[in-house]
Amino acid sequence: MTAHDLAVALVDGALVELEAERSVINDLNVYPVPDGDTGTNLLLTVRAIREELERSAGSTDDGVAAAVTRGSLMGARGNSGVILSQIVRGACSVCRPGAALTTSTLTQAFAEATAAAYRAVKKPVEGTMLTVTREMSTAASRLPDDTSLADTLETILAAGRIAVERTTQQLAALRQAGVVDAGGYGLLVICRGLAAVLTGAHAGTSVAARQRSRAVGGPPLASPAEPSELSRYRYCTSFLLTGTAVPKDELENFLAPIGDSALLVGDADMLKVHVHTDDPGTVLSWAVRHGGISEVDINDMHVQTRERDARLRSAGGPLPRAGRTAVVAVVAGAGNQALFREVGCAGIVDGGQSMNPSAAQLLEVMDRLASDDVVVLPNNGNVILTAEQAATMSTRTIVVVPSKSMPAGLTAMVEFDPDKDAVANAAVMTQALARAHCAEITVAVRDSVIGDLSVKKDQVIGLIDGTLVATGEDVDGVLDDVLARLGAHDPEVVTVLTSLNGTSLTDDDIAAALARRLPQAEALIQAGGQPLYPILIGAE
Amino acid sequence: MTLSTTKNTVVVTDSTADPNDRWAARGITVVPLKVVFGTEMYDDGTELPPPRLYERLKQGGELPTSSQPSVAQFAEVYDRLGRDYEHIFSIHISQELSGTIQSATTAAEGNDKVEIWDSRNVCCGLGLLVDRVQTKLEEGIELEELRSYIRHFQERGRMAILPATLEYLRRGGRIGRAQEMVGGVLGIRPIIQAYDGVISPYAKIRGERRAWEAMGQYLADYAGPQDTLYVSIVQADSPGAVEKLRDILLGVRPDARILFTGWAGSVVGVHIGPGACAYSVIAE
Repeated sequence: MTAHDLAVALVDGALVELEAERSVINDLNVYPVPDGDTGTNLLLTVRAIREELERSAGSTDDGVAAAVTRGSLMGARGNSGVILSQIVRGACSVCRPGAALTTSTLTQAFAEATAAAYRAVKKPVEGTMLTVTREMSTAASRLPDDTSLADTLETILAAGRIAVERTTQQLAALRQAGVVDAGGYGLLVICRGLAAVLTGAHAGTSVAARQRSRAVGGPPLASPAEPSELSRYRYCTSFLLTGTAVPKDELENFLAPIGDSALLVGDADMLKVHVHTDDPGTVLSWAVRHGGISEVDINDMHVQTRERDARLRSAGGPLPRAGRTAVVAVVAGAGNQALFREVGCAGIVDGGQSMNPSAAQLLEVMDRLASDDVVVLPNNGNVILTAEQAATMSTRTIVVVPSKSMPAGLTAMVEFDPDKDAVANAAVMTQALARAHCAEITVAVRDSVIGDLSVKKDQVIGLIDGTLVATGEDVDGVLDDVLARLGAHDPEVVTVLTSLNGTSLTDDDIAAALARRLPQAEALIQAGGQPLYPILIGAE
Repeated sequence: MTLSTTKNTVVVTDSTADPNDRWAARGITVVPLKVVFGTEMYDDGTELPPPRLYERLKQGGELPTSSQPSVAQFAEVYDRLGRDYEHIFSIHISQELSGTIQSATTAAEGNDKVEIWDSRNVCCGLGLLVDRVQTKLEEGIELEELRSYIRHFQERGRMAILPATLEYLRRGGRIGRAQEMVGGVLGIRPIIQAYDGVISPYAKIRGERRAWEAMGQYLADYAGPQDTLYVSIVQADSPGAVEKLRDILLGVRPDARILFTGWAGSVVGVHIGPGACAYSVIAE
């Protein structure tokens, strides 16, 4: 194998790993810039090395090192890519024509790589690629010179994995996001690819094995926005083919039309075969006609991809990090509960009119929250006292924002800022309540006379801010009255939470009534699902 | 002391500055970032003009990402311009938002003619600084005075963005603390600001009309009565947004000088998403 072939094989090994891990590395990427492209940048950088090597085919040993160095520098992208190019440059600087790769040359290469990487960065920060490079270098330097290459690589990778794991604690940005450093992990991935080529283990490392090693190397916590694309071919198939002179070219030609990601490494006596295909049986049948097979490993990559997506999704939602303050709200109806969650409410206690929660129920939900402070939205006049009682029973700072309805609670939520403390939040949220008006439409439970209006049991009634303003036989008539009266407040934004089962009303009827009575207002109609109240309206 | 002018000094920026048509004629060199669709890469602007980006986004499929210029791109530009100019002011997107400065810095190593400046802003904010610096060179200015102007902009330059959705900013990871910010539901329109190098939430506003008013309020809160205000406005596939913003801003400050308006660049578009608009302002 010429130096050029070796360099190509090493770079291909790194590329295979990087391509497999690119999106994971992208997901991890929060430092220094959370732009989610570290994986892409590292991949493009290494691809550039590969292209430069192709251009320099047939050059001398010195020429190979120069081509690698040149390709990495000129093609470097991203912080991680630029640092990587320096690591590559340092490592290449110790390459001597014809010299065997030994523990001592590896140690030297890592030392030079570390020095070059640190030199490249004006203000080195720990918890990054630099740290990972240095830790791997230190581990190598402690080994006796007669350590086998395989043991050396294993030691270096183990040190790298530990260093990657530690990055979470070394950098505030990583700690907050609960991830390891993307560049550091990317470097480990590259080294893993390099080591796999050097030990001839590449095709034997199944996707499952790589995922196991990743569990130590870099647990990604970012949630994927969309399901990952499934691989073109379903089964990752690898095996060892031994015994006779294996016709490698023939095997390549055979695999080309039925699979991709084919990797055939090793020599004529023992070939590691790796391919992605829909039909592993055909591949294995071909192989047994040409030699003995062993170490057969087949993985369903589609299942693995879906599992990984599901794992990432369950690991982190759209609100991954606990802020300083969280909100607990008392909310009735599935639609309303979803709405409160969407606007950033971390704890929901089911309840409301005629099913008031206890202080213990409120405390139980608060206890599950990670934040220091809690703001409580009772969303009902009868729950405010309970909430205040719960606040006195906790050691945390808990402040009650006395919202008397769910629309009012939503108005308050708009002002919520998880980075401010509970007292500051409560102040702005309570202010917001003052500019919000709430209308409720429900059915009278008994006969009564309130002010000028007499109400009969089962009549439809409309209230604004707790005061009875309209009565009637059907919901649409009362809705019209209520909207007309809300017009006096000249609202700019109106939210209608509906629960229209048992009425003849539709969203369109409500929209028409809003357009007629409050033409200036921007209106939102949401299916809330609350009991007892066909319509709740917030107007601000 | 000789003045710096467009004869001896040249401005280089990157494509996140939302370049407009007049810049090329004025001698401003724009180094493109890349828009990456899977394995396809396009130079921002030249290979993928903004309208094409939004057409492609409408077709669905994998959402693009962006990638900073390579060291080689900057090295080539610096070498070429170094033959004709004494000074190269290379002014770029905030280093908190992109690694572009890192590529530029590496390319400029050992090249005494190049000064790398972080605008501490992006988009039409970076563009506004570039435009002002070019104008000052066209008028002639002492180097030290130009540098102190850039430092002034770094501190005082502001941008306000009204995105149609937070989805793109979230996806790109560039939204920082605003990650928890709510958008979409309840008609909440978030307003995002860029200053001092980072993007952060400015306000959550309920209702379209109030959100536009708040864009105007941002200018009112920023500007002092004696300030001369320079403004740039861009939109990302949001027809009429530039005109609407112009009216609102001139309503707040009839004396504001609007230096340029146009499309946000494609890389910027990838991160703010279709339907967004933004303006930037500097008080002098």
